[in-house]
Amino acid sequence: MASSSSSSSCSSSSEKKITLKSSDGEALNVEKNVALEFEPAKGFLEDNSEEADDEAIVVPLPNVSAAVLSELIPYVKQRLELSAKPVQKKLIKAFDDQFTRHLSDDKLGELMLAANYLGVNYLLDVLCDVTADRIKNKSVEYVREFLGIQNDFTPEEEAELRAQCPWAFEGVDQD
Amino acid sequence: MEQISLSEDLITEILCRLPVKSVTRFKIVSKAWNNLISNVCIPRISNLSGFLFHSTEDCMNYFSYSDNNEGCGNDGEGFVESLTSLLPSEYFPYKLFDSCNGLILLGSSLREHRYYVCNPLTKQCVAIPKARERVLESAPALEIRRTTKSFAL
Repeated sequence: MASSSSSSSCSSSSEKKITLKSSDGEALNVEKNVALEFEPAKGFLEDNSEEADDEAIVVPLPNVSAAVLSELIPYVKQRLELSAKPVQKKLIKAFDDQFTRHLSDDKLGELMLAANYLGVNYLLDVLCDVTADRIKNKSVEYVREFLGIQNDFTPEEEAELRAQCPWAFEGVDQD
Repeated sequence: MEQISLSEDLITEILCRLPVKSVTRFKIVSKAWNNLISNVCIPRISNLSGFLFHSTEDCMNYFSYSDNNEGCGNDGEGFVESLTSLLPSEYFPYKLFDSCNGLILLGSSLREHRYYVCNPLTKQCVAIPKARERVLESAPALEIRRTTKSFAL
């Protein structure tokens, strides 16, 4: 009996709501099981576990904006539902593809920072794959602009490195 | 994405998912990238996971964990493709003579003795100048001299 009561309390806890407070001060209500996917929120909830009423807890997430959180929350929620079922990896991949396909480059970067900060590693993994895919066949100049990286080589140093591996500069996509 | 500054960890994570050709090109993006790529990514993404071993007196095998490439270097089929694809095709079939510190020594098994030292990680290959005095005998060996960063046969 003890095990059945603990499992029922577990399933009801997933319906409890927690409030997340974004960097821009917005409060977002999420299911507790979704909030627990975010490492800082999980830590915060564990530290405040003596609080009887979860509804009263407000978890501050000072590094993530409301705009980014409101993209992340539905993703994590659906991803949790998918991985709870005995689904094929193919389905999860299709879901991830659908989520990332239309992301702008800026949004991709923001989500990467957020997923890294929140410790949502399965999303971070997918986002890194997508970013790698977007720069894979591009030129050096394109990549510098894409990621906002300052070239600190002198033209001579750059030419020398280029000459060491000319094959790496063949067949590059148009920017 | 240029407004967003990704941490070095994230950049590494992205770079290490790229093919060898792309990361080699991206070494010239910046000095920091050159360091990350040379020291972290190229060793990590190298798909040469296997080992070289002598099977008979004059034959070396390459055994790969990843794609079941197994066999003697003599027939040209035993190499992983990335090894043979480095070399000028007119000199086939190549024989894998020796390996040392990650470099391999290849030579043509035709009468005309040509030797190449290759680095399978960076896909670089250099031809060894022909010996003027005498043709190398059947079992040349490769030696790396750490102090001078050079190699010798």
